[in-house]
Amino acid sequence: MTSDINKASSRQVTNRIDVKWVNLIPYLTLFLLIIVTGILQPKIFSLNWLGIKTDAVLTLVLATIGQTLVLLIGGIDLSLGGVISLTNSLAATKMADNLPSMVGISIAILAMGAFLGAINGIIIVKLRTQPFIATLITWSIYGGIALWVLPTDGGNVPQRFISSLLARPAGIPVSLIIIAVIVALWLYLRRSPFVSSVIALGSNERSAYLLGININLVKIQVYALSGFFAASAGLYRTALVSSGSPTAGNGFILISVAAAVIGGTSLAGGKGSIVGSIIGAFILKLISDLLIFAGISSYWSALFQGLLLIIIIAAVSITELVKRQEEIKR
Amino acid sequence: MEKVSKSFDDVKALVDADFIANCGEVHALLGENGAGKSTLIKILSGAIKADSGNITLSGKHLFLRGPSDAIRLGIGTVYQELSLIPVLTVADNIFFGQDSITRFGRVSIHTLYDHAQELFERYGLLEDIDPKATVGELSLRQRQLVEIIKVIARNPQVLILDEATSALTEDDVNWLLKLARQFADKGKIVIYISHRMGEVKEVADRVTVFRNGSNVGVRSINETNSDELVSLMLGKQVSGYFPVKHATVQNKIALQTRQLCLGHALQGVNFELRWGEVLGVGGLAGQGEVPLFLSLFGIYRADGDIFIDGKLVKINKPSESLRYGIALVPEDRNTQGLISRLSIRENMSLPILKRLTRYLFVNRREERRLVVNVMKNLRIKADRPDILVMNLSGGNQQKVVIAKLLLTEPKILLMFDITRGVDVGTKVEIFNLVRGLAAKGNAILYYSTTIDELVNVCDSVVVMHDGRIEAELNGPTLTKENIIRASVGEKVK
Repeated sequence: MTSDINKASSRQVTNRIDVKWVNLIPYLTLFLLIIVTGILQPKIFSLNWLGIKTDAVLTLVLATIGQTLVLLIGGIDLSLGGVISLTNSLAATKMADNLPSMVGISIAILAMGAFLGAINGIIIVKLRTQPFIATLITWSIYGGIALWVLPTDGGNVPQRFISSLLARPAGIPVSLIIIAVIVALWLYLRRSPFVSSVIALGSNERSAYLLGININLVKIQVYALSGFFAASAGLYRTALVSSGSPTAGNGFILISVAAAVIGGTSLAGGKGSIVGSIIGAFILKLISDLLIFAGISSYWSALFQGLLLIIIIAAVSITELVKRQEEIKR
Repeated sequence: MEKVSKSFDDVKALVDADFIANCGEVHALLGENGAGKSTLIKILSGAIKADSGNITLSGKHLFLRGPSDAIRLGIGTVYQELSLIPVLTVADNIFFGQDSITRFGRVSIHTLYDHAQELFERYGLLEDIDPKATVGELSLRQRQLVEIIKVIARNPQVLILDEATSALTEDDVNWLLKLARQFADKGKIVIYISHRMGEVKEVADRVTVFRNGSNVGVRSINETNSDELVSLMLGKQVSGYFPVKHATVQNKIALQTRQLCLGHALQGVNFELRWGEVLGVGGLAGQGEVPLFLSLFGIYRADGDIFIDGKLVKINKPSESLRYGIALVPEDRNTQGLISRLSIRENMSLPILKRLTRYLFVNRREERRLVVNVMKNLRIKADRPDILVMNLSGGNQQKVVIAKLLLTEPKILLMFDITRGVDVGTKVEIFNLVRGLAAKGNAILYYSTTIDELVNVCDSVVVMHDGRIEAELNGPTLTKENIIRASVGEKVK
């Protein structure tokens, strides 16, 4: 029962404060991690250091963005693992060392990613399949194709491709520019009709339908976007590690979900932000770096990431609970 | 709309239904739940596709692929279950999907808030709703007001109001009726669905009555009366809307609270509920009735004492409440009373699964027997217990909720506005059911927003105001006037 509370103004003020606190958790965590890093490794901060970090984390960021959009509509995309592997493998084998080839192949790969994602959407919408099952199936299919394209790690990546994506024009890393552009786009499009439809769909599908939103089309579009971003992640990874691997994407599936959740995205849909997800990816990266610095074996890093996830989710849930209790008391 | 038919699985909602409404009129659509009104209207709004039949608007044949087509053609619908997005703000909801304020695909927040505020003023909204507030924070009444403004603001050619007043106050209702009239006077078509005869008589020009999926009569409002309309709806002569109140109240106290407090919501609630008594709870919305009911059922943990049969008890969660023999019929059957995707049988057996389970398996035969039995007793209109609950009419759904709780064999029933959005015929059955339960010795706490019900169905009534019991009325003091006086904090006569 929605509590019928009389003192509306005070209630709204409280809600806004509480809501702000919850939204700040990712920012606070990132801030804390940066401080800790600064304490343990003094004088390490520099544009170069930032560049190394953004280069390393961009793949995860791109994958997480795609995943966030899917989570917003209450779905999940397991197939991004396969898409990353496939696009990585294709880029590492099909790119020739000349500009038309690099640009052409890149565009083709991005388009293919959108296409592969759209297939997910179509299976989910037309065949009425659960997103988990549908993307699980396409994950194996796309991963299988990756193995066929590139049976073992390797491949031949043109040097110019690598250096252009890892470049530092005027000292600013390309990866940082990409992130900045994405953030700017998100802030601009956050209230656009498409994003509003996505959030509406994710939070209350029935109402969204009655409001005239084309549910099926939006779902397919979202999965296509996820595929697009997964493909971009695979493409960037090719430059980052200057090679291809048919299993490259597998490690990104659950981590992208973790990063999104840490950034404030709800697994039930309807709540989340791209900026939060980007921060979530950075948080995971910084933790993993801190663990390496502390000499803790990389096998433990998964454990710590899991612990962090639990702490953050608990913090969010407790805040929601307290907010609800406070509501009735007023 | 001509010869429209629609079936949901095995449930025939509409059978060759016809409906005609003219410009410049407020046309009421009456009928019991299950008569097909909601289905007909949902076909018109594009939410459902008819199996057969056609729709024409101003001579043009309409082919609606979905709600967006209907909206584009100027058909605006205020839905009974509302169509708002809780995580978005009031302003976002009102202007959802409208490009009028868009520039480069981006909508300025502050313009939206100002526009929303303008709309509220233009239509004379009686409540100060903050356009920046999230819809999820609003009360049911406020949400309904937002839904109404949202639809009206688009200036539709056909305005459909489906039970648009169910959560509104009397002032709000008058406001809406005036708006409906203004719309019709501008030459639009207003289709008004309501269970409240008073509203219909006041605002409608013509009335169409539906029964069992077909149109059974169209009348001009001044050429007919309530009795004729109700007879058309029920298909039989109507007598005795309210049941006879037999003396059922016993001397022993079933449930008693002492100084029940919960933050600002409950400020020391004291009352006594006797076995065999139907104790009404009246008062305006938001005076603590919700926290009271929820505290008694263990959803909130209030300070103070609760006594059952004279013994002090601690109720910390619903399962404990159920164990003490208390059952709650909640406010919103859709989100709190039922699981819409499950069948009648599954919904009903949920609270008593432990009783039905032996070792690891549920005794399906016993389950079926109990369910069929209670369906018969409550006259739930469904062919089989396996029908999904979401395909039932509102009144039948409410019966399923009550039946489900009755299966837990409660002794004390907390009934919260159980006739909201329920058709006339079912209401009568529910009133009789409540009195029957009292006659069997159960204790019932009965909250209703309809003062007539409180006076006619309850033995005594306590009126809540500002988190306290303002007045206890029974016998000669139990009048409509006193309930209203107590509701606003005035002394009773």
